[in-house]
Amino acid sequence: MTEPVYDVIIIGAGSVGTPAAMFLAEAGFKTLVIDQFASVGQGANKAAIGGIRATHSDPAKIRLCLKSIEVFSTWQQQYGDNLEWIAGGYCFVAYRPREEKILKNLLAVQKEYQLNIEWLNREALLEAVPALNPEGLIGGTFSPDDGSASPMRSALAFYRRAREKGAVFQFGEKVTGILTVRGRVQGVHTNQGTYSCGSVINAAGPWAREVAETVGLDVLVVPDSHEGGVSEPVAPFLRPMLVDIRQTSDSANYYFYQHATGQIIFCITPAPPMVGTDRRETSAFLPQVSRRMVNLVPRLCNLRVRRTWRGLYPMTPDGFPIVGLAPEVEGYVHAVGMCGQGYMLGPGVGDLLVRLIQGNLTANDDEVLRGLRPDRPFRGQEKLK
Amino acid sequence: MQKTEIAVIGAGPAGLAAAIEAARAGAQVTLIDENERPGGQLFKQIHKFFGSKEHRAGTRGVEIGVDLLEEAKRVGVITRLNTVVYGLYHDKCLGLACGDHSEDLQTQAIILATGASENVLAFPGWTLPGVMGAGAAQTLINIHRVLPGRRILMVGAGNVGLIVTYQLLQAGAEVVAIIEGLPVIGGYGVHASKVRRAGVPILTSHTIVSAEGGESVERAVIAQVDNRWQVLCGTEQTLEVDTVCLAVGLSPLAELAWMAGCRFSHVPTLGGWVPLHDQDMQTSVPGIYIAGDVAGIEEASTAMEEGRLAGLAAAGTLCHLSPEVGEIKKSEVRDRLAALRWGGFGEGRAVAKRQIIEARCEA
Repeated sequence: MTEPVYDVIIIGAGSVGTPAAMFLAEAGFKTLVIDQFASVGQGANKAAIGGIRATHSDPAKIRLCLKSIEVFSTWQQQYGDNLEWIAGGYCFVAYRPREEKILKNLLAVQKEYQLNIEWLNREALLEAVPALNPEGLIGGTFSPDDGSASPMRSALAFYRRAREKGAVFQFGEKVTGILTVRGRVQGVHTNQGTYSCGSVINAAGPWAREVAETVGLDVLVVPDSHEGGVSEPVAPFLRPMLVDIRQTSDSANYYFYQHATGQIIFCITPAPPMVGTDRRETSAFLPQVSRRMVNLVPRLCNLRVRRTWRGLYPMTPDGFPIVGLAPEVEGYVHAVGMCGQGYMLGPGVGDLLVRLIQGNLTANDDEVLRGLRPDRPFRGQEKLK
Repeated sequence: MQKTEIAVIGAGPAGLAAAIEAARAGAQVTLIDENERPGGQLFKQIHKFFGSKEHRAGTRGVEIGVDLLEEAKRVGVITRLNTVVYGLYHDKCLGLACGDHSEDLQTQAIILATGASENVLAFPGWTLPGVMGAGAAQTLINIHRVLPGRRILMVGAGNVGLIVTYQLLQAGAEVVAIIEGLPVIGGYGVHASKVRRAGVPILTSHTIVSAEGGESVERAVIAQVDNRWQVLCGTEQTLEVDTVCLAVGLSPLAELAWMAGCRFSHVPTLGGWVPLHDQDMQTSVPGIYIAGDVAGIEEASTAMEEGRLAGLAAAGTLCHLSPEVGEIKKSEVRDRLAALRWGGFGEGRAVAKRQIIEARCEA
């Protein structure tokens, strides 16, 4: 039997695997993507709400997302597909001194990395976001270069471009094993056959741990779930993504924005987290999130919700992704544990994976990968999830 | 959070009958409807019902509706009107939207009696004012007492098309013609004869080609079709009408059953996608029951019997009836249901229903 020989096999055609396939194919790698679902972006990607920001608190995610923003914001100009990108900015609001302090502390770090982000006092913030509830508002951060786009349109656009550049996609196939010889990756077994390759990238999102187990590695990715929802479309009145990081007894932060289609898309972080892969909507979500949203932007009380859903977050112990070569298996690459930010990190990670596989890393890349090493101690905690 | 033992969604004939039966057995029942008034389509059914004595043959839908409302009140059913159920979750909690606020209602069992929606036909001009469902026209004349138009074309010669035509005539409108795509009339002969005697032509193997007009419908073009539903060139004729009523079937309103994860089957005889249910009207999700048109398009008498069955079953699983008494009562209802599905018109539905129940039991 003659088998097709690939340079790289990517497991997972989602937020990370699809743009990675595109960049690898563009760079001339013979690339195969294998996904258990019937088409591109059918796992966690389609549950993403579409927010894209570079205003994180660590150099790795900042750098990766800056690259992603470059890809999303220039895509239509370059390739014609409308990804529904809008540079509406991100706004983290403070109504209590506690949040003001957290955000101002982070601001210092963010400015160090030359991010375009400012602290707006109450008046300036109300001018930027007139819909905000003024009562008790102290101020907030505003980062105008961040934005939003459509995860579905993006996945399709990256998929088409990847195919044009020669990447091959096998859908409806489940990876059952990774073939290694003397500690080196040789190929991938699926329930349909075997493909040989030089490198394997695990980009399996919430299913990353099962995939890693097939090569005998334990990668610390545990899925939990968040619920999201979308409203009917209304005329534009809300420009940035609003993020409220106040904790309550049953939820942590929540965030929402007005999409290019005029719909408000929203999400909340439940407390405690809902660990596991159950994706049935809960009765608690909509009353919980809408109460908080209406409190923040009172005019939302007139809006009707169209649909809610529940999606998976592939979480790591410290809230940071795991990206890099596996020290234990030559040719095996982790691109997992995006912790709910796979959509915004995807293009940046994909672009970096090219140089990682080429062995052509820059000093910046080294800094990014240091923060995301698979063999790090996982002791810290991400501050701005 | 508010609680109830059994929530019945939809206060039409099926929902009212279900709520009454469950409450009679001793269950705490909340009956929810999005409309201002209960009764569903019953109050516009001014015609006398068919069937046997137990099915209240000879009684008009309106009178049956009044009796059901009184009985529901008497047995202590809590009725919540102007309330939309926006969500049905796996913990059997319902999300309710009532006016400008929302509420949760924690239930132990749920009976979906959400009814059906009218099908539409798409043709050039179908969005012009004056094109409407036959059920909408019936609501206008029988509930609001407003004529939808003066000169009407009825599309569809099933029972709805025939009955609404007759009621439009009674209300003072002129029905120019009834057209039917099939080569035969779908509705009962007795209804067809009645409208024919009143001078309304029934044109079988005819379809609507377009509705025309400036601000609203002024004309409709109809044409003959062959046995493959293709328009025969040269048979087009223009009718001067100001209203086109579409009586082209109903579809079960089953979104909440989808949301609950119920298994479905596509059964054309019953109107399309129908949730599977067992002999007790229980869906594939334990504790969720269906009754009436949502369980397959039939008519009000079967809807009420299905409602009674679902009400008895739901109350039974909550221990309000002993298994023996419950079984006796349920089998009485099942016998009456079988009688309603007897004969030329009922046989197809009886077979389809048996298949639904078999599929549910295999699922």
